[in-house]
Amino acid sequence: MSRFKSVVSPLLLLVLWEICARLGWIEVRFFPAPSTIFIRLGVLVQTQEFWRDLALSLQRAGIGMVMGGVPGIMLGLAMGLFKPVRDFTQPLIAGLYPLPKIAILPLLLLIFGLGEMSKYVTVAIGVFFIMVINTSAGVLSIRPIFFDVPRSLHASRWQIYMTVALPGALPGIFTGIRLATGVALLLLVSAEFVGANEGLGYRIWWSWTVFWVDTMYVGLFEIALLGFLSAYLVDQLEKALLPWRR
Amino acid sequence: MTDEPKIALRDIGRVFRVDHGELVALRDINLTVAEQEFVCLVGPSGCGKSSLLRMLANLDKPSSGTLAIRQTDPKRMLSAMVFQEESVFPWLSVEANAAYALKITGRYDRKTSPQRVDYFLEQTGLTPYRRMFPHQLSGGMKQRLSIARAFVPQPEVLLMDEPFAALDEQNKMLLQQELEKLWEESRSAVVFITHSIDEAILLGDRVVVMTSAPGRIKADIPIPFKRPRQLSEIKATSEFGHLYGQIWNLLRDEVLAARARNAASAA
Ligand SMILES: Nc1ncnc2c1ncn2[C@@H]1O[C@H](COP(=O)(O)OP(=O)(O)O)[C@@H](O)[C@H]1O
Ligand SMILES: [Mg+2]
Repeated sequence: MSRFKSVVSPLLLLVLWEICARLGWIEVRFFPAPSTIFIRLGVLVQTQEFWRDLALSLQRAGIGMVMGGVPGIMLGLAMGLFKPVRDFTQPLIAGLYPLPKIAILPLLLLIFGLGEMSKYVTVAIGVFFIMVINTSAGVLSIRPIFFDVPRSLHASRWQIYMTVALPGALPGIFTGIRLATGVALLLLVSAEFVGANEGLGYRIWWSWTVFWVDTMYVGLFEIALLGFLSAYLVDQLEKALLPWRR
Repeated sequence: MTDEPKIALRDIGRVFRVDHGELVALRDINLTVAEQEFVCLVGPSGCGKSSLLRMLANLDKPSSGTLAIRQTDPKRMLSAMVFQEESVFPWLSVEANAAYALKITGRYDRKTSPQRVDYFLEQTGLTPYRRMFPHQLSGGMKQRLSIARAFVPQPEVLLMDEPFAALDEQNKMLLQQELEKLWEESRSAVVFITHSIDEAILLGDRVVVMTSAPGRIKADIPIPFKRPRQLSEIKATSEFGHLYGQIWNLLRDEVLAARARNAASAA
């Protein structure tokens, strides 16, 4: 039932769009009807290029997320647990986080070149900040009494981290992952706009410049679908890993 | 058994640093608890009872004086605490919470430990809920779970901070009875904080009365009733009335003193 509900609003939008396009209320050269886009999609899925773009973009997003996410979670845990680490890094994070990552793309291209690494790093930087902030917030939200329980049993620091800090921070980490998947796609497509010759973002930009509007919309549709699927996947993962959440 | 005390507190003081200087929470505390003795601690709120227990639980250090708990069996866990606040882990199932102390101290044994967990879940009425998570339990059930968690490892010393304060009257009476039984089986020494004089007399071998802040020990009253005790039976005796009156008089003076001091500092 809830799965059905989650597709109602996107479907409604598509139907409305289709009607407007058929009735000539919108300019179909720029806003082609969804049916036209899906027909184009049907053609494109039969090409190798379509799947190569998709696979490459997914790989870039995935590698970038791990590259940014793992250190982000580690620093977030350290910041949540140790006040000196927090005091030292907090101002840096607070200052750098709001900088639009897209604005430093030229710099990243300069440093890492046009190859794969610049894509990974772009995604990683965005994901890193989100994971640091949400993980440390997760640790700080743990009630102090939960740390007292193992301490009163003479547990080691390591045991306290593993049995209290980590599980207690998991809800915050998941909030971070949920936000990070969206940001990863966003940053990746931007990076592929300017510095790639393959991948979803590149394909969208390229089809626009040659005025293959249908193909551009197929790319946009793919990204929307990826966003939807990744959110769904993270939800399912959270349900499976954190059965204790209300 | 030896005459050496299980717990020995000598001239314990505890001073907290607060915004505008220092707060003396405890002063000149001298107290011993014998092997397998059940000591109840009563005193006006804010007199430092929890602070004292936290020191015994390895969670805080005294500012002055010495504190010693004598370990008799090195294989046995030294102490476990039941907290005043809700303290069961939301991320562990009921049975995993109950087994937590054994697991974290490396005492979990695949053969014998599950039985012990089962036994205490049964005693606290939690067997039907063992696979649930704490958010599915009522407040009283969570407190019973934290009692089970402390008993499962059979510690030499049990520290309990108003464990029944949040429970309804019926559950409280059932658990008081269970606690006496569990304690006699466990052969632990117990330091038990309560604000209920009935409960202190029902459970304690001794009732220690503390003064208002800074907390000192005002009186140490032995409770002579034979065990197992029934509240309804001992309450009918004249001795109970006498003890109750004695403790209440001691406490009333301290509560009034604390009130007067709060009023003065508020003015
Ligand atoms: N960590 C702390 N820092 C500062 N003051 C504290 C701290 N812990 C307790 N206190 C103060 O010490 C006094 C005794 O507190 P507590 O031991 O909780 O009393 P009780 O358990 O008898 O009600 C209170 O005034 C309390 O505010
Ligand atoms: Mg208290």
